[in-house]
Amino acid sequence: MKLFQQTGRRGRRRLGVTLVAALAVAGWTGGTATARVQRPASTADRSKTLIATLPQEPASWNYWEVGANALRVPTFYNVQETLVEDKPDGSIVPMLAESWTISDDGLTYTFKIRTAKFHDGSDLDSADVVYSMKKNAESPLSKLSAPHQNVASVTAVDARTVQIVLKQPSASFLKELGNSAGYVVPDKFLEEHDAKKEMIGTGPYVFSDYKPDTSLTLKRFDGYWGTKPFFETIDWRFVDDETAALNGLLAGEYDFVTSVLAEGIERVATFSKDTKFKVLFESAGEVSYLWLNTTKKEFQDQRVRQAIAHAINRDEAIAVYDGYADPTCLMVVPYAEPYNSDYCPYTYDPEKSKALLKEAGYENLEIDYPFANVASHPFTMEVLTQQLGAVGIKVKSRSQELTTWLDKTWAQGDYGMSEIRDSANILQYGCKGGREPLGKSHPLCVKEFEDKLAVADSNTDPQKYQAAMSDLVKTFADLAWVTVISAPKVPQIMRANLDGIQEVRINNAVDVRSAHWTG
Amino acid sequence: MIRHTLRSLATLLFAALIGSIVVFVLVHMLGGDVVTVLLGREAAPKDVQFMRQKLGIDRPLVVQYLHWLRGVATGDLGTSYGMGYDIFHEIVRRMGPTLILTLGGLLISIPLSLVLGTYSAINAKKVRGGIVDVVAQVGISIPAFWAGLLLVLVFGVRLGWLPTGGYVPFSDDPLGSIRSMILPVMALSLGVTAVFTRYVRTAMIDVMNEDFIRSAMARGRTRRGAALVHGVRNASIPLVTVAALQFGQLIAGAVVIENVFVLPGIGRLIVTATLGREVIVVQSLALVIMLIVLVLNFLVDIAYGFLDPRIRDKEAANA
Amino acid sequence: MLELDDLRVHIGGHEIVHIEHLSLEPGSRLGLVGESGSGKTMTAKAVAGLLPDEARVSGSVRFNGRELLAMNDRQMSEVRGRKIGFVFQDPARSLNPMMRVGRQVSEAIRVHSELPRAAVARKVVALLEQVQLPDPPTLMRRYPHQLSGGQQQRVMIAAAIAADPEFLIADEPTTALDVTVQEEILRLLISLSEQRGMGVLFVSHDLGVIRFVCDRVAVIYGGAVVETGRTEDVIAAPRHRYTAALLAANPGMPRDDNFRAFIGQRLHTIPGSVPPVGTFPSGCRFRNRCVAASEACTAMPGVLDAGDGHRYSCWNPVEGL
Repeated sequence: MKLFQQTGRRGRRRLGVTLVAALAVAGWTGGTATARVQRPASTADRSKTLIATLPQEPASWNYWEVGANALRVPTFYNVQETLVEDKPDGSIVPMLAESWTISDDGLTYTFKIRTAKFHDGSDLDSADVVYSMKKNAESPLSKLSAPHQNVASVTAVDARTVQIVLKQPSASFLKELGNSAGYVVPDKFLEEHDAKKEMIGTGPYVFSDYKPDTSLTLKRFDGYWGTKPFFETIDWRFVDDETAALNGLLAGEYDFVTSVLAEGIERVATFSKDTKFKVLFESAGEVSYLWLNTTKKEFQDQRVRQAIAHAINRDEAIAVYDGYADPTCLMVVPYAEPYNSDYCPYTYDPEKSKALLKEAGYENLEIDYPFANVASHPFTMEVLTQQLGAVGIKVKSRSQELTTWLDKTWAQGDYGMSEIRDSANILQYGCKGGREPLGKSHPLCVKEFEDKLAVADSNTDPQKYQAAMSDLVKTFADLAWVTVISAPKVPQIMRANLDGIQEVRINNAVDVRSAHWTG
Repeated sequence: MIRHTLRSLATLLFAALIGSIVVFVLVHMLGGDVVTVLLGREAAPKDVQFMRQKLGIDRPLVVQYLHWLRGVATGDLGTSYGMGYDIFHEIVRRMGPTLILTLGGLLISIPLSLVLGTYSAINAKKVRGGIVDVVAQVGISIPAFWAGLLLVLVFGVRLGWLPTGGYVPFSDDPLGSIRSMILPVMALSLGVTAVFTRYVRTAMIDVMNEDFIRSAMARGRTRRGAALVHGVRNASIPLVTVAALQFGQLIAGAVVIENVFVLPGIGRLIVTATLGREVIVVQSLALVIMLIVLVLNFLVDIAYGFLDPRIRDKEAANA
Repeated sequence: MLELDDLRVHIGGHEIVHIEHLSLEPGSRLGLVGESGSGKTMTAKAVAGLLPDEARVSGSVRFNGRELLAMNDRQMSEVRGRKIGFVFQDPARSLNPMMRVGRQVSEAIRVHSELPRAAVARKVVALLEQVQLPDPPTLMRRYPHQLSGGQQQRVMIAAAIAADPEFLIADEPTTALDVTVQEEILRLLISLSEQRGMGVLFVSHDLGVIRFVCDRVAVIYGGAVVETGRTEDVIAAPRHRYTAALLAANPGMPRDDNFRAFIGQRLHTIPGSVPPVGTFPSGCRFRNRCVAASEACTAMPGVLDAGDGHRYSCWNPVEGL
C-alpha cells in the first residue's frame, strides 16, 4: 500500500513544491502571489466570519485524554478557559479566578471565582473548579496532571472561593493553571457528557459544529463573561496539505493559514512581499533539539557528547526553516522567558569535534537515528547527517511515520539519537518526575542537574527563580546529552487586514479572541 | 446457477475477510497504537496502560479481531477508538465525495476515452492519431496529485473560477457542491482517461482488423462509419473489464485527489485512520472496499452477458 | 460494366497483382480461378477498394465508366453496397457477433437510402425470404452465432444485395461450408444473378465451382491473368500450360451439370507450388513449374487470341486437342 511508503510521499511533496515554484516563476501564481480575480466574498459576505486552516486534526475532542496540539490550537482560551490566564508577555492575569491570594509560605492559593456561564447554560461555581482540578490531576496527560502532583488538597471554601494547598512551594504552579492544568469544565462533565464529541467551556466561543476531516465551527457565545470578540463565527478548516492551504489563501477561500511547517516554507517569502497578505511569525513556543540515548555506552563519555555538539552548525541548520528560526543552545521554552541568554558551551567547531572523538577513541562512531517523517524533521535529518558526517560520525538514519516514531523511538527508546521540536519546559526533564526522552526508559540522572532542578521551582522570589532557572538551563546545555539547535518561528500567513493574532501561542493555541478586520 | 452464485459469494466474503486480516496485521506491524496517537508525547507508561485497557486494545490480537468479526457478523462494524463514531455510518458518510469522485471520473473517462481511443485508432497511421496517443501517454505519466495541483493553480488560484478545495455536500448547496467537485473529478479522470484511451485504441485497432468491419465497409460504410457503428461497441467490452479492474486504482487515485482537494471521502479516511492507528476502522474499510471491488467484478460478469450476446447465450445454456 | 486495365497492386515493394485487362458485362458471371497466393483475392479487394492500408494500387478500375481508383473513402463508400455488393469467404467472421442479423442485413439500405424504419424492416424480411431463410421476422432479431454456417452465408448474401447492386463480388463464398450447403448457396447466387440481372465476379480456387457458376473464367497465376475465355472453351481446350496443368491434375473433372461431380476438384496436385511473393521468375511467371518451358519463356509472352474471346499468354501453348 502506498500509504506506508512515507519517503515516497515526501518526494511527492517536494515535486509539488518545485512545480509550484516553477509556476510562480512563470507568473502563473502572479508575481505578487495574488489571485488575479478578487472575489467580493472576502470582506462583504463573511465580514463576521473568520476562515482559518489547521494542519492537524485531533483524534477526538476529549481534552482530558488527547495530548495532541491539534486539540488545543483551535479551542484553548477560545472555547475552554482556565483558572488564570497566561499572557504572551509572561504575566499571569485573572481569568475564571477574578482574584487570588498566595500565603506567605507559598503553599496556600485562595482563588475568588468569577460569575460566568458555561456554554450549556449552567453557572460556574467553586464545585466546578474543584471537580475540574481533581480531574486534571487524574488525567493520563502529564500536561494536565503533572503540576497537580504537588497539590495536597483542593477545597471549595464557599460557592465562589476555592483553596488549593501545595506540598511545597512552586514558582511555576500559577502559570501552569493558565495552561492545560487549569482547564475548568462543568461539574461531572467527563461522566455525563461524551467528551470526545463535545467541548463545554466558558470561553467566548461555543464548540458548535464538527465535521470530521472538514471543519470545526465555533460560534460566538452570547453569555460570555468578558469582552465579546469581533468575529461571530470561526470556521476552522482541516487542511493538512500546506500547498492546498496556501492555494486556498491565494484564491481568497481562506483568511488565515495558521501554520506553515514543511513544504510551504519556500512560499513564505513570496507572501511577505505581497501587500494583500501578512506573515506573522509565531515566535517559538518550541525548540528543536537532538538528544542522545543515555543508555548507550559511547555516550557515557562526555567528550563524545561534546564532539557531537561541536559538530552542529546552527546557522546552517536553520536553513531548513528558510531562516525562520533563531539559533540557540538553551532549553528555554517559551523562547521569550526572561532567563534566556545567548550562552553556548559548544559552538560549531568541527576540528575540535574531530579532536574530541580521537581523544575519546571513537573515530568510527556510528549512530542510529530514527526520525519522524513529517514537517521539518526529514530536512533537519539531512542537515544533521551531513554535519555529523563531516566530522567522521556515520549516521544511520531511519524514516518512521509519526505514530511509529512516537511508539518505537520516543516511548520504547529504540534509538541512538533523534531530533524533535518540543514545547516542554526544562523542569520536565528531571530523573524522577520526568518525561520521555531522557525520562522513564532512558533517564538522565545527573546529580548536579537533579539538585538544581529540585530547588529551582521552589524559589518563590521571582529574581532568585530566574537566576536558578538560568543556571539550570546552562547546566543542562553543558551536559550535552541534549543539543538544542534552534527555536523555529512558525510562519502564520493571513490576509493583510486581519489583526489581533498573537505572535506567541500560549499552550500552542491560536488565540482568536481579539482577531478582527482593519480598515 | 444458484449454487454457483452462492459459492462465488462465499469466496468473495472469504477473500474480503482474509484481506481484513492482512490489513489488521499490517497496521499492527507499523508500531504505535491509537493510545500513542491520543496521548502523544506526554504519556507515562501507566497511563498508556490505563488507556489501552479502557479501549480494550490490551487484549490479545486474535481476541480483538474475533470481537470485531463477531460485530461484522451482526452487521456492526463497531465504533472508532478516538472519536467514538459509528464506523459503518462514517464509511457511508464518506462514500459521498468518493462516489462522486470515482463515478464522476468514470462518467467522464469512459465516453471521452471511447472518443479519443477510436479517433486515435482510426487515424493510427496518421499524425493526428499519433498525437492523441502521445497525449494519452503523457496523461498516464502525469501523477494525479500533480494534475490536481495544476488545475488548482490555473482554475482556482489564477482564474478564480472554481474552489481550490473543500467539499460542499449536495444537500447544503447543489451548485456549490458541483463546483467543488469539478476540479477533483477532472484531476482524477485525466489519468484514467489516458489509460482507458490506450485500451480503447488497442481494442479498436484489433477490431478494425476484423472481417466484419470490412463487411460493413463493403456495404457502404466509410472506414470511420464502420468504426463507430461496429467497432466501438465491440471495443467497449474490454473497457468494461478494464474499468472494473481500475476501480482499485481509482480508489488509490481518490486517496491522492482527496488529499490535494481536502475532500472528506473514503480516501482521506484511509489515510487518517491509518495514521491515527484506528485499526478497526482501517480493517472495516479494507473489508468494505474489497467487497465493493469483488461485487463489481461480479457485476462485470453479468454486464458481459448484456453486452455480448454470445456470452449471454452460453450462460443461459449453462443455467 | 466493370473494367480493369493495367491494374497493379504492390505490397511491401512486391508486385502482387498485375492485370492487363479484365472486364465483366452486366448480368454475366466471371470466375477468377487460381491457387492460393495467386493474387485472385487481392484483385477482388482492389476492385472493392478494401485492400490493406500498406497496399499501393495503380492502373484503372472503371465502373460504368467511372474511375474507382481515383475515389476517396467517402466516394467509394457510395459505390460499395449500392453499386457493387460483396460476399466474403468466412461468414462467421464477416458478421458482427454483437449486432442482430436484421441490422446487418439492413445496413446497406440504411446507409444508402432514407427509407423509413418500417419500410426497411419489410425489405429485410423480403431479402431474407429471397435468400430462402426460414421465418425472417424471428431470424432478423437473432445474433450471428445463433445461426448455422449456411444461414450465416445467406445472411451475408442478403446483406450484400440489400441495396440492389449491379454487381456482386463473391470471394470464395462457399469454401468454409460443407458440400450440401455449398450447392445450395451456389444455386442461390446463380438464381439471384439471373433474377436481378446482376453481374458476379466469382473468386475461387475450385475450378469445379467456377464451372458450375460462371459463364466466363479468368485463370490467374502470379497476379496476372494467363488465360481467359468462356468457361466451357477454356476447360475444353486450355491453351496456357498452367491451365492445362490445372486440368491435367484434375482428370476426373466431369462435364455434366451435376454439382456433386463438379466440386472437390482442388488445384493442389500441380507439381511444385506457388512461389512466395517476390520470387516469381522473370518473363513467364509459370516457367519454373512448366513442363514445356523453353528459352523463349524468359521473356514476357504477349496476349494471343484463340477466337471467341478466348485469350492466353504463353510461348509454348497447348496445341489443338
